Amino acid sequence: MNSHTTRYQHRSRQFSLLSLIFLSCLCCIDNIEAADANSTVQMSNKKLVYLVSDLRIPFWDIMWRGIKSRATSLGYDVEVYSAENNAKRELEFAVRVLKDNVSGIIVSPTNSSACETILKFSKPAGIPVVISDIGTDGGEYVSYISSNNHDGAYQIGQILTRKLADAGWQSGRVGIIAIPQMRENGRARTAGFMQALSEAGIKGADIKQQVTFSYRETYDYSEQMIKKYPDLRAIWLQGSDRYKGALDAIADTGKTEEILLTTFDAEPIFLDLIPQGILIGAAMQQPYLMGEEAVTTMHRHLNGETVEKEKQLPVLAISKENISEKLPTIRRNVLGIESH
Amino acid sequence: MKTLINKHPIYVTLGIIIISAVAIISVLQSTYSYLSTKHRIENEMRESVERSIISLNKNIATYLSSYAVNEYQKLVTNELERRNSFAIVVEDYNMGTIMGVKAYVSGKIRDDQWRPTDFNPNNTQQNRKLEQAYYSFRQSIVSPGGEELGAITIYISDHELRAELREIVVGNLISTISISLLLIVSLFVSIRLRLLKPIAEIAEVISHADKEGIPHENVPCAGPQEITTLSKTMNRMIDTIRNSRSELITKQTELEQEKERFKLAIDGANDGLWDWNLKTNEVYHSPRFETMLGYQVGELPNSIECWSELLHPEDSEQAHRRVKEYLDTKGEGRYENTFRMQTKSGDWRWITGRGKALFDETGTAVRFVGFNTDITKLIIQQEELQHQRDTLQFQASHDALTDLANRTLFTYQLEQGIDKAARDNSKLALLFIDLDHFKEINDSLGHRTGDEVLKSVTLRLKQTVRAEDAIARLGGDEFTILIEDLKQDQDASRLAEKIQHKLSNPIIVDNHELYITISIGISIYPDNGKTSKDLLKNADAAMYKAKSEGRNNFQYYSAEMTAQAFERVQMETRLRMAIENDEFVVFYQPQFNGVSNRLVGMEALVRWQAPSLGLIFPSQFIPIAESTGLIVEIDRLVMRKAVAQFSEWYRKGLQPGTLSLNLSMRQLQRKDLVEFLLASLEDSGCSPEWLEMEITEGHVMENPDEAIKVLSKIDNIGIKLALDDFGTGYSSLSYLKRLPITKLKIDRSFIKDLPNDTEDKAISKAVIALAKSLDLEILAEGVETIEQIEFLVENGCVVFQGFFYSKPIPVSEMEAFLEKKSWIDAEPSFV
Repeated sequence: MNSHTTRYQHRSRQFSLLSLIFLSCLCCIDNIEAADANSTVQMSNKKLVYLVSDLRIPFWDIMWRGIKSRATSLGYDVEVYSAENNAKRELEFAVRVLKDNVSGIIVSPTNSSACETILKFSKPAGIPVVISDIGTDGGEYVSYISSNNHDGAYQIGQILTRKLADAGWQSGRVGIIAIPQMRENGRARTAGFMQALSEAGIKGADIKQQVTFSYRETYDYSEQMIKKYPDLRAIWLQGSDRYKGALDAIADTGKTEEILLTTFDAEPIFLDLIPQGILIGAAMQQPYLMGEEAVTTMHRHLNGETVEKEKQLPVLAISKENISEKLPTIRRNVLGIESH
Repeated sequence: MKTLINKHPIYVTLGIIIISAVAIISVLQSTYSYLSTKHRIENEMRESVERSIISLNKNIATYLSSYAVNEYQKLVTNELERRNSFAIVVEDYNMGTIMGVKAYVSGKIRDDQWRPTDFNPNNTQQNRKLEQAYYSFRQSIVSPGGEELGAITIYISDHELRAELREIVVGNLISTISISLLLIVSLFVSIRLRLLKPIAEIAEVISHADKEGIPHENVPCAGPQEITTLSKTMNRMIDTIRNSRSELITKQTELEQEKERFKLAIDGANDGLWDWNLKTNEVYHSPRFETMLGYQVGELPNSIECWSELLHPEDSEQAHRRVKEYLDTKGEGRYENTFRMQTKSGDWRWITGRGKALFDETGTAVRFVGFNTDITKLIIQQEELQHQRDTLQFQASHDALTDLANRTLFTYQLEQGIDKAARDNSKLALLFIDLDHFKEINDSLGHRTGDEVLKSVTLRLKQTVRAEDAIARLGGDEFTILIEDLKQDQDASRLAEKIQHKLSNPIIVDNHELYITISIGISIYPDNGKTSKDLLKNADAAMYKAKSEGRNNFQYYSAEMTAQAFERVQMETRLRMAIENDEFVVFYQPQFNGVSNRLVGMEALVRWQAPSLGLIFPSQFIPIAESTGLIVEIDRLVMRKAVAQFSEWYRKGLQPGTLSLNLSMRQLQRKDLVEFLLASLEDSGCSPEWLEMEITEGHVMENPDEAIKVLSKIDNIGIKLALDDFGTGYSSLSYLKRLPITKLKIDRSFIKDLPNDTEDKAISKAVIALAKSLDLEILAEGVETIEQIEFLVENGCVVFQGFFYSKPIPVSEMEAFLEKKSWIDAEPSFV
């Protein structure tokens, strides 16, 4: 059980367990509530599991909150298993969950390849799987909920190219520190962003793919590109968590206010950095919304409804100009901050 | 193949050869290629698999250690497709641990359409396919740190192998057909131009030939060297054939003439040809062979058994022997065989077979050919000729009137008889007979009557003499008779008397009753001559002596013999008269028990009381009586008298014991003997148990079986039987056992010298022992001394007869003796 499980979740699980015991007793004593509803989910089996690569990452935590919120509202027990980015643990959780014969699995795999393995195991067990982000290399699943990375990247690209144009830096280059391009979302982001650059006639510099996703890596990549391309006028990070490395590299190379920084995804602090102009903008996925949508899709599937095989949710392209307007949406869907 | 080649044009033949050769080479090459390719592919597959597995192992270890199941499965999929492997199976121990099993097994396997599909370890069909995989290679997957993470197994099917090999086979087939076609076309063209064209030209020339198949022209000499050489050779052959044909025609004509000559010879000889194949045992018969025996042509079976079956049974053995003898000579002898064969109608034909056999290198006859000649006519002619010869010979040696031997033949027979008598040390007698006063019959009644008289005399002579005695007519009224193996000189005079007696009856010729007397002269070999001439001369002289003595008598050449003859004749006459006059009397010799001295019986002995001669002993008249047959009458006379006397003694109560009567051989031979005995017993009132018949051992042994029969009948009457003179007749013990006798009489010759003669002692002891062993009584004859009696008693014989007790005595003395009964208490003494 992940340490992030809340007390509420503990109580919910305890309640579910008691409910199960209670229902079992009812079945034994009165033999009522016979198994007459193959078309509908039985209360005793109404449990969803969320397999996630690493709940320590805010994005996944926000998505988990969306899942838990929607699942609870739909009457499901829900448990989360965080592999902490460990493939072995991810598989162990998958095997264990499959043995528990849960109603459905929502998975955000460590990578699309591992997801295919999970799908391969779940298929013979007959447990439906909804993929929430990352995607899969193959296999059978109920639905794949993802962000429209291409369009999000395109829009943030357009924001950046407008800024460059406003500054008269159209001749400058834009460097990209990308997530691994082996990932489908990485390739989509690069394509959308490059489309915007292309349309604006702005040249690209290197695309450096992250491996360790560390601060140092981001700092080094940024410094290397700054030094390599004197005409570098902007850096686009395809992730949000190591934005500080890029800012420090720009600052340390004396390029503050000479090189613009933009990101994909967001951190809570961005709500301050964007209005200050430290960050030009960010393409913000909506993990909370994705979590909710994943549960909704699963629920519909379990209730025999036809669901879309792939569903892409919009990515919010936020800049200084629209952040105020989009703030409630950002707070809920991007940052998972529910207003009570 | 041979037939195929022989019956088809050379094109086809060459085509078959080329295709066959190319096919064989291609098959061999394909086989070699197939095997080497298979070997190569197998090696490549193994190497590929090993490389693949090494490569995979290196990459997959990372994935296994990082639990990147999908990644290594992708790797496996890629490797499967890249290497065209049949299946790759990964055993993941890490995943196995997670899943609670030893290993998580996954992989890829080709389906029936050779498409990669996921391997499911629980899929039976897939597992079976893996088991049937052509080759598999398994290797453990080890992490860099040395931890065994799992295993990978690559399976190879023969799919690729088969595809490649199929390609090789198809390729080879195509190349074979192509090469064959190319070779055939090339060869056909070159053969057509270089070989067949010249041959066709030769054939064209040869096809224009005369009726005997010889070409009109010589064949062309063109084309390759071999065909040119062939053409030249053929031309030389044609020339040679043309030359030899004329020679052949000449020889054929000669052969035809020879054959015709041979056929004419066979037909002319009228012989039947036979040809016996000894290997198959089949026989060819010429038509004449069959018609010779009255059969239709082809009617006789063609087997040697047919010949054997038609042979006369009397000739069969000899005919087969002749064939065997000839074949045994291996052809060095001459085969000629005469035998009779039966015709279809059942007649017999005399056949002479001549022939010659062929032998193989081992000397075994393989063929036997010859002719059968019908010599029946010749045989008949020979038989007729022989008959004529026999007739002539008979006429030359016999008298034409009487068919008796003539002088020549008789002389020959006499000489033969002399030779035999000389060899056998025996005697023969020659009787020379002359009819008395025959001349007067001829003169008065004519020669024809005389001839008839001679024939009648001849007939009576033949009826008188034995079959083996030779009779001859020397001429006129002179006859001779040759008697061989003469026992006694007087036998000749007896025959003379018989003849005279036979001729004493009148001969009737043409109503004339003629009384013929004859004069006979007798000469004896060797007493009166040792040659035929001397014997004839002396017999003739004796005959004249008889004539001079008044005719109608016989004379020996020796006067002494004549005297003896007449004495015998007189004795015989007296015997007849003695019978008529009842001059024979019976004497009795008593028989005693030597121990008790009691009379046990007596033997009846005949004596002749002749008025003029006095008492005559049996030895003087019995031989004459036996030779004349008077013995039977004398015997019966004695028997009747003795039995009657004995009965009377019994009636008088004189206790005479047992009466022994001698039974002569002649008596024994009489069929009415038993009736006679029964009648005598009845007439006299004699009890049969009072009687004992004695038969000499010698008489019994003359015809023992018949004697046993008669003696058994006598035994059945109740009359006892004793064997007389035992020890002199060489009795067979087996017959002795069968004889119904109760007593043995030891002959006096064995008693005479007892007890001094060792041999007589041994014999007498043996006879006594024999009698005891056969449970017979024993009586010793001729005992004369007390020593003899003591010896005999000591050895078990207690009954005696002899002078020691009594000589034979007349009735009166015996009756007196019986009446006195003096022997009962008296000491033994002469009576």
